[in-house]
Amino acid sequence: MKKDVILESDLVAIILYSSAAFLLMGLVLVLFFYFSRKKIIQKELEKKDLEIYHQKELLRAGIITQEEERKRIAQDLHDDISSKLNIVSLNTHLLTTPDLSDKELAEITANILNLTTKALENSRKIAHGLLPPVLDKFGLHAGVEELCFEFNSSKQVAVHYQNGTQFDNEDRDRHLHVFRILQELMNNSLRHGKATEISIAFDEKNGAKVCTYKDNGIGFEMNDKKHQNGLGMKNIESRVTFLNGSINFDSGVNKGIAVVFNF
Amino acid sequence: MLNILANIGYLILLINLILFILGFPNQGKAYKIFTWYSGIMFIIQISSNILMSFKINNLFLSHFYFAGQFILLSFFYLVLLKGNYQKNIVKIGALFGLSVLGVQYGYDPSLFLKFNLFEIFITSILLIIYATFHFYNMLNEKKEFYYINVGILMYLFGSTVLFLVGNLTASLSLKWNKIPWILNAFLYIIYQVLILIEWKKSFYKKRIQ
Repeated sequence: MKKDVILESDLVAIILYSSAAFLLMGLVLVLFFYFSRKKIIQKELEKKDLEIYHQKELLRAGIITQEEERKRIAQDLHDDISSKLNIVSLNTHLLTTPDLSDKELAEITANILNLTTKALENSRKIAHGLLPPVLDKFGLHAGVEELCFEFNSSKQVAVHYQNGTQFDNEDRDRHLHVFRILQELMNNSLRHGKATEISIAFDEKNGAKVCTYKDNGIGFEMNDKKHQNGLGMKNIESRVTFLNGSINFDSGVNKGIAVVFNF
Repeated sequence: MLNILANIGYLILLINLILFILGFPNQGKAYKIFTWYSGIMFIIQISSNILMSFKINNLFLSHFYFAGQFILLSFFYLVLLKGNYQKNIVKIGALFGLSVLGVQYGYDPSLFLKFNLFEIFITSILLIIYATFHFYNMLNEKKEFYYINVGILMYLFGSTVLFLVGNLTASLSLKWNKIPWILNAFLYIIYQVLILIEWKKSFYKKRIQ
């Protein structure tokens, strides 16, 4: 049996190459870790920047909506109430003229009564538009019922409302957000979606309340960024965030929309 | 025992080769280069088996194995890696490695007949560096050739030392001299299985389409 002699130089060469190999592999590992951390931190920063930008956009939408509301209220107050009160003041001034006939007196008094009644009606309407007293006094269920009744009586759309859960009176503030979301959705369905049927349903799943909203309007393209960035949508999103809930939109062209959100 | 393990490894290599060739027309450049790599490895394995059955010393084929693997996988990573920095490192590495080896063999052709330690060292280390580059690229991105990359990295890590001591196995006693080769065959099976997994996860559906 011929046994080859192991040369010492061969062994030394092997040892040197093996250590060099391990050393370099260790170096590669350390460098990999170092560069990976940099890359991961950079990606995190990018994500955070995007989040911040999104929050700023939501804030902007909120402020713009607020200003628009103020303008509308100012307009309504001026048109419906200031003008009428103006005429009431004129009529009252007329009352101070001496020597008025009974007929004129009756006419002026009737005018004043008429105008003040109308002004009162309008101010009630404005207040109701701002915050429906029914919602405030009787809770979310009654508020939504009244909203559906109003939309139904416009004869342009038929609203079906189902409530499968109880609303706790403690959550008044949160219920206001839900009410506003439904208002926005229904306005959208009527104006943009041209829907003729809307269905709203409340349920309780896993301890959280779920609202399912459907309409049969023209719907929208799911991936259309323009629709997602509308003011109304941003405000709905903000409110859902306040409620600590989540919202899901599903729609297709001419297939109506289905919105599910929990709170 | 060695024969069984080695043959299982060759069998899986053949399966991989066939599967990759079947999907050849619709795939990207990197896929095609990798198919060529598998093909040439298979040819080297077959030739070494043939030579072995004729009792001819087939150690010189190892140079074709290491050099061929190095050249083809360098091309593979040249296509796969991103950014000029990484691609330049691949080009410089290939140039450096091949020229040093050329000079080495020019000086001492007798090196051709046994394992060349420097060749094993430089080809394995450079390929490990390229594989690590690819892992770095895949952080936070889509996994592309992920399992193949794992296979290359693991196999090179495991087998480099085994090959470095390859020259010594002739002088070990019969009881121990097959052990490095058994370990190598075992690692090779794992490597080929990972390539198979890659095929199943990334390329199986594409072929059906």
